Amino acid sequence: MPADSDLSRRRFMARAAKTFLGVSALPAAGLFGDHRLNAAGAGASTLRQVPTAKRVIYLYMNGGMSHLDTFDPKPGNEAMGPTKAINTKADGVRISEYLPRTARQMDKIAVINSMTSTQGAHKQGNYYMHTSYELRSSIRHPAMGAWALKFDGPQNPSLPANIMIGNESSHPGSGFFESRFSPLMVNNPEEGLRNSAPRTGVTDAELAYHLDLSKKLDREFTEKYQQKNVRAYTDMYADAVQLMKSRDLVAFDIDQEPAGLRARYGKNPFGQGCILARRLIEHDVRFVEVSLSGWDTHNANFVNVPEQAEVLDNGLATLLDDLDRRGLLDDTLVVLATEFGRTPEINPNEGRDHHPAAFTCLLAGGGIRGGQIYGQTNENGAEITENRVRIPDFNATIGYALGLPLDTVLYSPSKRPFTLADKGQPVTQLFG
Amino acid sequence: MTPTKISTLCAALTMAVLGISAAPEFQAAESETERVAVTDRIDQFIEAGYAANDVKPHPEISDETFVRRIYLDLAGRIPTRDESKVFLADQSANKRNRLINELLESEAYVHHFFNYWSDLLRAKTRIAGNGNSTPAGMAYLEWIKDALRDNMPYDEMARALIGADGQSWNNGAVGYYLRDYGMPLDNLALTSQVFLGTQIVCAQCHNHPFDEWTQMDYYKMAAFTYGVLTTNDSENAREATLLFSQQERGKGAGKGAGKSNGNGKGNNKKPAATDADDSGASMSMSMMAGDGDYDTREMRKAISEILFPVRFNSVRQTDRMPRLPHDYQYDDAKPKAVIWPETPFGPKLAIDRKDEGALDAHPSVAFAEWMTSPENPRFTKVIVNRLWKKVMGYGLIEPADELRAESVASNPELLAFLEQRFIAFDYDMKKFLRTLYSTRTYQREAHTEDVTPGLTYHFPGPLLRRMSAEQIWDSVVAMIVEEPDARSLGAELSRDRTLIKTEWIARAIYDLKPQELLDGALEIAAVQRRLSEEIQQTQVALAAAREDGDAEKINAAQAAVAEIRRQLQEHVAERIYRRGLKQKIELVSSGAGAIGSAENEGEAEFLTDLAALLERDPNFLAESGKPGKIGADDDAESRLKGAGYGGTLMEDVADRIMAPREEERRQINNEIRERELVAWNVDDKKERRSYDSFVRARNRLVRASELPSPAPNGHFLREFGQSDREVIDNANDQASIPQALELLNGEVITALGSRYSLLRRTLQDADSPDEMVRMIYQAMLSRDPSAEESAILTEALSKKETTPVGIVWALLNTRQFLFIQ
Repeated sequence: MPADSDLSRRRFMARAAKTFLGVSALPAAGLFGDHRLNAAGAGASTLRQVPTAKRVIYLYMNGGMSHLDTFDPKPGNEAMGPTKAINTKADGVRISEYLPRTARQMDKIAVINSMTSTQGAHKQGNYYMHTSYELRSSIRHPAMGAWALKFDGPQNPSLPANIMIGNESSHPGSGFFESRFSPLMVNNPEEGLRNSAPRTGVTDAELAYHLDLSKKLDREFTEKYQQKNVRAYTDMYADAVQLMKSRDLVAFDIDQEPAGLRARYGKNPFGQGCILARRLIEHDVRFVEVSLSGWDTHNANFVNVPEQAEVLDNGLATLLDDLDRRGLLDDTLVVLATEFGRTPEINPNEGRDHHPAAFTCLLAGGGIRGGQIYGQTNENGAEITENRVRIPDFNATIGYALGLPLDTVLYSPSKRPFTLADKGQPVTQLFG
Repeated sequence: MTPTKISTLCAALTMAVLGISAAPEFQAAESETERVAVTDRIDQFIEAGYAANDVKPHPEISDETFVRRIYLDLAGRIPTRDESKVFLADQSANKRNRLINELLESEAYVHHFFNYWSDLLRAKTRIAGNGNSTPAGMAYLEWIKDALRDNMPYDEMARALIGADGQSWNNGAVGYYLRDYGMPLDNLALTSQVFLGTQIVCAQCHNHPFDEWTQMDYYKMAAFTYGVLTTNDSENAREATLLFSQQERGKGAGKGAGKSNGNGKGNNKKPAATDADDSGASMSMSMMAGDGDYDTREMRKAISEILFPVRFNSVRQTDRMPRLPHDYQYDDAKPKAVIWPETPFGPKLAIDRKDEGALDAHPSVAFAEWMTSPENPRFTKVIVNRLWKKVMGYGLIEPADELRAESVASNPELLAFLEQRFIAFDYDMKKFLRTLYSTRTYQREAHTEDVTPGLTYHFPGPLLRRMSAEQIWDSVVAMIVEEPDARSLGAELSRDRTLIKTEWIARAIYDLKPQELLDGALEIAAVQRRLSEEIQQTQVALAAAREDGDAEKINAAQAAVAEIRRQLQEHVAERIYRRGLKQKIELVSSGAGAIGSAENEGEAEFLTDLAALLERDPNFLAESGKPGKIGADDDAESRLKGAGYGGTLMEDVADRIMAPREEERRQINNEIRERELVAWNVDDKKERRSYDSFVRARNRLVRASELPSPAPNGHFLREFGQSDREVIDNANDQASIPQALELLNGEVITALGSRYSLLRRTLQDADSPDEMVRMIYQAMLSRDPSAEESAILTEALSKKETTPVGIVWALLNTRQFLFIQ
């Protein structure tokens, strides 16, 4: 076969990349580490688009963020309840009054108001958003951070490359990939990386002495059992010690940040998680997720959403501004995602219920053209009227920005075939 | 007494226990003969494999290796120094078999195999991924432990799970279905994978790409269990809903009609205002505030508010049948067709439309019978292969849960023999495990190389395995606390409290007459309406506060909403739960006959508990749900208006039920403390502080199986690969950086190094560096150090380069500690 059709397809893709991005489709060697790609196995794509982002900060709004009360307001419609819309720095983009600081950063953000999901329950929706696959009890699919590492490996070998900040225990992690691709969990951003410093009173010399002692005592065992997992432990100890000594460890220490800036991010786990995320990507950590819970506003939506939005507003707006000032926004993709939106109908408890049919996600930085709205919903935000974006499409867009091969098939241990975004199509119009 | 003397004494005791009377001795002798015969046969099958494939078996392991391995494999932790010394000192010929028996009968076995089963069954404390589902989760986990402790035969266990119905507090097995709340099709795929080793999940959406299953097979099989409902309802709630629509229709059709007028679908229509005097509802309706007219939606909302605290607790078997998906693409049926149950392989079992109403048992029960019958070609094969893998580290068929028509075992004769034996053993798991652990094959040295995928493994010895997360944690626990296998009293009390509270709420609701429940629901609907108005007012206030940027007012408005929500729940408690419990109290107080004439055992037990509580605390209900004592009054409104409405009714009731046991627990803890302060010479303030901090750490150091399942993210157990219990068999043994950080710098090493840890207290007896090193090796690796190891460490101690705790630290961070040889 198909060598021909293959070739023509490649040509098409290359042309498409050029057309959409004004870039060439030849891989930029320094960024990719092609040997790792080859290691990913048969079926690997020979073609990858040029990345527009090196790193991702993924903000996850847990519980289902009300699109109407945040980024898709419908002024004048009764669905809005008491929520009003305000103008933003971007012409023609109006968002909710609960996000005044984000409004001033709107020139950096692409709002996708035409997101749609097939999943109406939290766990299923959250899983779908993170993996592009529907939740099945018989398999765990990898989340985006794990895919990125699987293809490209870490950019900074002395730090963990995939980090999750927050108390989200249902994260799909590395799915069926090796567990080393799992995000390292940071429950409390103020605490940083747990156990990364020696216990009180233990000196570096003592640590080194005892590690050496361990090795001596283990010599016979490690010689006898020449096995992969035994060696993996030996290597892992070396990595852990390297990490403990690494100058980059300071990335985890948000106490290094000026008090004023920390306050602007918001003195709450999400805001402090955002500032930690910025420090981590400054040290070339590839994928950092920060989660914000509390969006499940079945009750008193118009009391609870403003409170949530304030936390989001401080974290997101300060993050974008901070990244921009440091020149990091150009190659850092900031994503804001959630499992679904909320109903235009206001229920008897003055709340809004789950609404997967239409909702909003954001992309910013990393090659995304800011100040635009993509897709549209009808007059009360219930239905999509233009440019539907399915969750796999959204995730394909993230993968596309990172220059990951969207068509490379990897197999689970049960020999089922999977791709990075389940054949989603990247929304290339968002770039440039 | 020195440790050596204690061990000798223990050995003597063990001997005495094993020889107590003639009859068991005879039985023991008989089963011993049987065991020898079966294990020999297993070894012969394996050894025939060596001969045929030119495989050289590994040498038999030493007693030192055996004792550490068998403790880890059966008790789930390393042996304490005393335990291994007792075994090593024992000179009798059959001491290995005796230790196997002893460990199988210990609580440690329950702890350890629970981890295995909860990974396989994906059993979680928060069973449906939600805080409200903990009662059922806790009951399910406890059910699994009970089954293991009682050695419930495996086939019986499978039937109990698949045929489960009832409530969490009377049948923990309902957790099997609640685990897949609202996902009956997925549940069937899991059943098939767990019990039949058959992965048919692909066929949920299309014909299986590389196996024989069609989507039709899948739906036919799923039809057996599709009728098992996990929805939160109750008989009286269903009847109350029916009553409501009848009464509404009655109103719509004019006075006194009471029957359907054929316009039965108009439930959502809000009826016109009417003088509701035609039914039992009239009295309560006239009592209510507002206009007294509620639509079906409001009524259902009120009912669901009432049932809210008992959701995720009930499983009901019905005859509901599934329909094919709307996009069904094959020719054998139309999309959305109703599918009747039929089994895809083995002896055929089918139920069709003409059987409707004529079944002896629910389809799921019939399915469980089919599945567990010895004629089922996969049921026994799968469990035998799983247990073989658990023992040896590698299945006779791999992967163990993906049997196919063409799957061939590496040693087919052996697999067939094991299947036949397990059936002959009546699916007695302990008996089967005892046999496997007694084999020469198991008691050989671990394989030193990796098993090459694709090549057949002939079992020259078991595989070298990294300890599971639970084995590592539990081994650490065993080095720190005195009775590592003791169950956690704290966990027991919190479990019982949660379950009792849920059960009492449910009994208060379920036994109300439908009309009573309906009346209550309408009262709640009135409250909902009023509170919804309050929320709207709060919103206005909030908007104004935001306009002014008044942070205080914003906070106040937010607090007001939380308060409104709390009020709704309290109204429910007052109007429904208090009413229901009151009726129960009246029943118990009415005379001695009430308990005897209870409908079932569960009800009788509940009434007995209630009577006991009344005896102890006669006014418990009147005094619950509010501060201080007030006179007997049942006017919910005035209670709620009381400025200081403090407690939550059912929390208070639960506190009162649990009070004596909580008190007992406090006493036990005090006694332990007093005893230890003396025994461990904790004299001054500083020592007391360090003792207290040790006790705080110790409180968390219970067996992994006594902690929430799974442990929270970031917990030691999760770092080491404990399963998240989301996918079958999801634990992993892979290295990750946080593991090293944990063992190098984490809390565990601090607790281990505390002067009060079991290990440190043991080391006090060492009178030379040499002895010190030997004791550490015995405690951590169940052996004496080699001459080389001893030389290195003795010298390091003498030169003060390290300390005993330093040596413990170094050994904890070796591979040989972490891997099971």
